[in-house]
Amino acid sequence: MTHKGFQNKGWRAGFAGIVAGISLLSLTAQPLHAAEANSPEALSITFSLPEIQTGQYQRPYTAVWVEDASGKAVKTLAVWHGDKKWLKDLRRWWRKTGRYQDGDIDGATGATKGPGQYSLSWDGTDSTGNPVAEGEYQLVLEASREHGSRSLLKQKFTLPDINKTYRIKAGKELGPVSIEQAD
Amino acid sequence: MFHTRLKKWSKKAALATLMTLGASSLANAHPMWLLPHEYNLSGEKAEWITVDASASHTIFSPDKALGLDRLSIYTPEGGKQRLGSYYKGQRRSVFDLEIDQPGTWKLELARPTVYFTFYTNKRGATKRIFADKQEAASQLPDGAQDVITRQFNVSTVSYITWQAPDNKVLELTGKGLELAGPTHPSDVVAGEAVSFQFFVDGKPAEGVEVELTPNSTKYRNDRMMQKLKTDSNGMLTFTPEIVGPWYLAAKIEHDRKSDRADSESSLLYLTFDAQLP
Repeated sequence: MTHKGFQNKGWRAGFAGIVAGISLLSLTAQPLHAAEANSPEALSITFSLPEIQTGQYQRPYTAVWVEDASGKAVKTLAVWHGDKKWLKDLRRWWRKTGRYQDGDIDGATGATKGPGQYSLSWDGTDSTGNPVAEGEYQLVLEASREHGSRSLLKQKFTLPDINKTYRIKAGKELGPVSIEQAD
Repeated sequence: MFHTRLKKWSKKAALATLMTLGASSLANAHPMWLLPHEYNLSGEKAEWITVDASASHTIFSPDKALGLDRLSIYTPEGGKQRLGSYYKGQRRSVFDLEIDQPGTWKLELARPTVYFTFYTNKRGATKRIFADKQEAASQLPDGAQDVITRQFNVSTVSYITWQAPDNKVLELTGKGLELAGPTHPSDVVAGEAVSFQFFVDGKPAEGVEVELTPNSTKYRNDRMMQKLKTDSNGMLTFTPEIVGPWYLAAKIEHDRKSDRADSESSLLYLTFDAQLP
């Protein structure tokens, strides 16, 4: 009797030797007024974490990543968190990529951040640092806050499709988001 | 007008009764469930989960506490553990379990094989006794008719994953009714298609009757239970639209007899989590 294996997410295997430098180049998490990254960009993203008036404000766990047309995670651009015990509350990010501990995550990891504007960029490479194929992709942003809510925002885009701009309306814990495609 | 409506209603009621009777063997067996407080864990250190165990028709409201001395805990590395101490109340049993190996764990509570002998007594009422064919011979009253002895193999399972899911605990044993991928039970997402394959004695099982019910039936009018059957490959495909824990009840009547029973059925229960998209 043969019984087919489970969907093993084979695409994510073998990323152990990720070069940290690639992640550093491709990711810039900094206030808007700071200098833009010099690396070639497929996408530049600006978004905000809203100020929330509450007695029990904890900074949200936040993740930003790119998925391909089939919904597989291609690359994590940012994951800001505290105790990893609660990483699972970034439900989609955790399921799609976080739990596999791929190499791209180290370079994207940071401490949780408070209300403010942030910018990130994606250089069009996957988690192994190789340029991705042309086609349909989706940018996903997820934020989850203790005592608060969870927001999940998504925007589809096509590569190459230069000089296109997208805006995503804000959710409770995230946004608004603006995305620019460049050559 | 009122009359016709009443007529319609009683027809419906009669139909419902009929359906209940038709499914009585599945409904009779009390649906047992193991409900972990969390199905997916992400911490860097071992974490404790807490699990409720009960048998009830209201999903997932505890009704009858379960004895857990026979609970088997299968670890991702292929080990098997027994439960230490647990609490057994009137309506619910509870245990805590330290998840200290990354990967997928399986909790399984298998009932000892049970034999029921059904018969019709002199007054025409259907009765049952806890007895196999041989035991029944001496226990049946005079004049018992339509005697049939049924054997039931019943187990309830649940899967918990720390970090990435794996498949060790999903390997088939080749015995009885079992469930496997292609969808990993820790990978069920609301609104996305799920495929589970069912096997009997290691072979794909066609025609397994499956009932699927999303959580919190007591807070809605419609039970929202779906009745499905596996295809010729033993495959069950469905899309859970509601987030949260679901209850799956699978049943198949085997094509075999023994000295102790005229028919043998296996029931497999599973709780799984349909995650936020």
